[in-house]
Amino acid sequence: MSTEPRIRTRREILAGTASGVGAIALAHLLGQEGALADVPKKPGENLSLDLRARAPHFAPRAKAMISLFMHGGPSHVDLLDPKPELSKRHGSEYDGEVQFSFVNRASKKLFGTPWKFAKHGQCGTEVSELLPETAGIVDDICVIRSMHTGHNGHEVSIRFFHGGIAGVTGRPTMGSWLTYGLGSESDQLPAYMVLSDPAGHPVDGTNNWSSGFMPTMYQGTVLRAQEPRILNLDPPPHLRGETQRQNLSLLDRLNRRHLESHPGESDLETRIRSYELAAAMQTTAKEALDVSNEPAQIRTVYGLDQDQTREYGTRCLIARRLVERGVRFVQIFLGGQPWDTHTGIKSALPAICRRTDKPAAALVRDLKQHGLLDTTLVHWGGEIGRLPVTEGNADASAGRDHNGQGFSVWLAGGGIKAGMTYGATDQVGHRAVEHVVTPNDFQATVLHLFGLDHNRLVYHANGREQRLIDSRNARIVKEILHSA
Amino acid sequence: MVTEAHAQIDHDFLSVPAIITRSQAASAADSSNTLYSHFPLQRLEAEEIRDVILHLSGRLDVTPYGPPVLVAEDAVGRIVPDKDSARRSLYLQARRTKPVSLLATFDSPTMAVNCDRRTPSTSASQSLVLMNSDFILRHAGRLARRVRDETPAGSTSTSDQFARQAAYAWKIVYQRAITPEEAAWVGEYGSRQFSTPGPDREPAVLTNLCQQLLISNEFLYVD
Repeated sequence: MSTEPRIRTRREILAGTASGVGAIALAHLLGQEGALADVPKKPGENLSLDLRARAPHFAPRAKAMISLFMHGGPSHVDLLDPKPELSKRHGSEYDGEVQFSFVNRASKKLFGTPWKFAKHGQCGTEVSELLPETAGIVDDICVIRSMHTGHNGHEVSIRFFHGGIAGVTGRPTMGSWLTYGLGSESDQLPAYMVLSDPAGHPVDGTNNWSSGFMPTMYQGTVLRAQEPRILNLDPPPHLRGETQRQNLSLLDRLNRRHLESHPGESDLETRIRSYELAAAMQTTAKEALDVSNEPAQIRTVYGLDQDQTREYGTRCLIARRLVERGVRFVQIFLGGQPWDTHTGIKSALPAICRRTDKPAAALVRDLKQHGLLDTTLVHWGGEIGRLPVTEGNADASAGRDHNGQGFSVWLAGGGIKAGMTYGATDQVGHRAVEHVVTPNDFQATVLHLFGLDHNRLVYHANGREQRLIDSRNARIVKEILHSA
Repeated sequence: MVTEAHAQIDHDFLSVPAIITRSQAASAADSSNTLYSHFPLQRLEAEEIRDVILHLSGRLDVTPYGPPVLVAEDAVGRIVPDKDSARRSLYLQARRTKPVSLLATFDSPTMAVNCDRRTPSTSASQSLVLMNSDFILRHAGRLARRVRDETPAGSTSTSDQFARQAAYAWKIVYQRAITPEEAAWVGEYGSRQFSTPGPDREPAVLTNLCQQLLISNEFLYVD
């Protein structure tokens, strides 16, 4: 082994150790000395394609992220962005330019919110009466009122938020980039998990958690809404327990003997380890998904005792349990796009608020109580907002059409400044006009909180360097970051 | 079968002990293969994994040409070939919105983008598929049936017959003879498994053994 005609790196020497001790030492060392692993060996090379924990580029604020993705476009002017001027001009003709998606139902009649806004908390952030629980956590969150995708369509903006380029599929999502850049903190759970809705996939389906041109190990592991929550997690009953242990032990012997005749092939060691991980996952994942042992008080906070909040509340609680166990990125989706209130907004919007408001606020409170909020970034938001003008007739069937020109999201924890609002839309809530934040700005900021420089996190595919924001203009929104 | 006869000839040629010794020495001296001293170890690609497992279980359908095999979602949301088709993976429909789950797990190209090069990955979800998925378990069962049918009966003792079956399984799955060390492991494994109570122990234990061969590194990697 020492006859090799060039100097070997520490990693190669360790990788060349075929014994099990070598494998363990390697995993341990790379975990401890992540700084070694965060730089590719040669230019043009990717980070090693595995899930070992890697050190970020600089000290991170966030270790994990929970994203409550609100498909369809929550109506910001009815929820988080009060517009007295819009209410004043209710029913009059809007004099601005509007792009409509549903042209046949289009009107330019301004539509003031039917709901009341009030100041809440120490910070006095104004929130609509549709979100009474969110109103209770305003001192812990930062509401951004100047989001802008520039595109009114759902998919085009969804893909902008996930993959960094509006409308383009086949790119890794932000969760994939975080997992690629930082690896997994957990030995026993996937680093990137998606909690799907009983009503089915969200709009744009599996693109929402695709790893695009990266290997599939960086895609979101979908936790199904029904059992089996994770596919292939459990062996059939006759293979459980002792039989499975005997099988894996024989397999391990065969694999280690094979490794001895292939010294230095790190992929073989990684695969041996992946069987150990898979076996560990069978118990850990089961335990993490079981909320029945949570104290009654916690279950009540999440609304598990009420029909309308039980399902979404359970998933929010599972998200906290996953983050507690080292999962890096959890995203909770809704089936279809319940925030897409084209018609009957007066009944449709309260319905989806009732389902999600309490669990979302409970998540922030609970993370705080568990001491996890400082290192866990929580995101609430959709891909677009809604227009200040009426869609359809100005009666009970009235709705609002798509608006990617200006809308609101909120962030909490993980290094985000609490109790503030940032940016603004124009007087009627149509366009973001002050401190505009694009999905790319959002992504650069999230990566920054995780200690990653969005320009340095590179993956080589299709003959070029790829980055989450694809080298377009993006700025880290420093104004919303907590000064350390 | 003709292909297996060929493989056997290749195997006999390659198994000349001197060559093996030399190649092992070369691998050890040049572990990162900068001197191209050995063929780089490669994991089977997604289609190869599915096809060779179908082949070993005696199901592979090599009919050429014709319309693609449709794919559909099963009861739990996996995308699988229609009617459990055993045609070569090449003939499975490649739908952008419905990537065949087994193939996608093993890094088949994503249809939404250009794929200039496949990136083989190693993940726990692959291990879970190999350990627990319906596809692997069913085909391990079929392979076991084939091994049982094709191993000449030579003994009435369960453990002797199990050893003969294991040796035959080694021959068709690994294309080589079982080593004495491995035979001892198999003996130990067999005696533990046979003492575990359960219905139909003989086929069940042989199925378990066949599964471990199909999901082992020696089978999943070519060198």
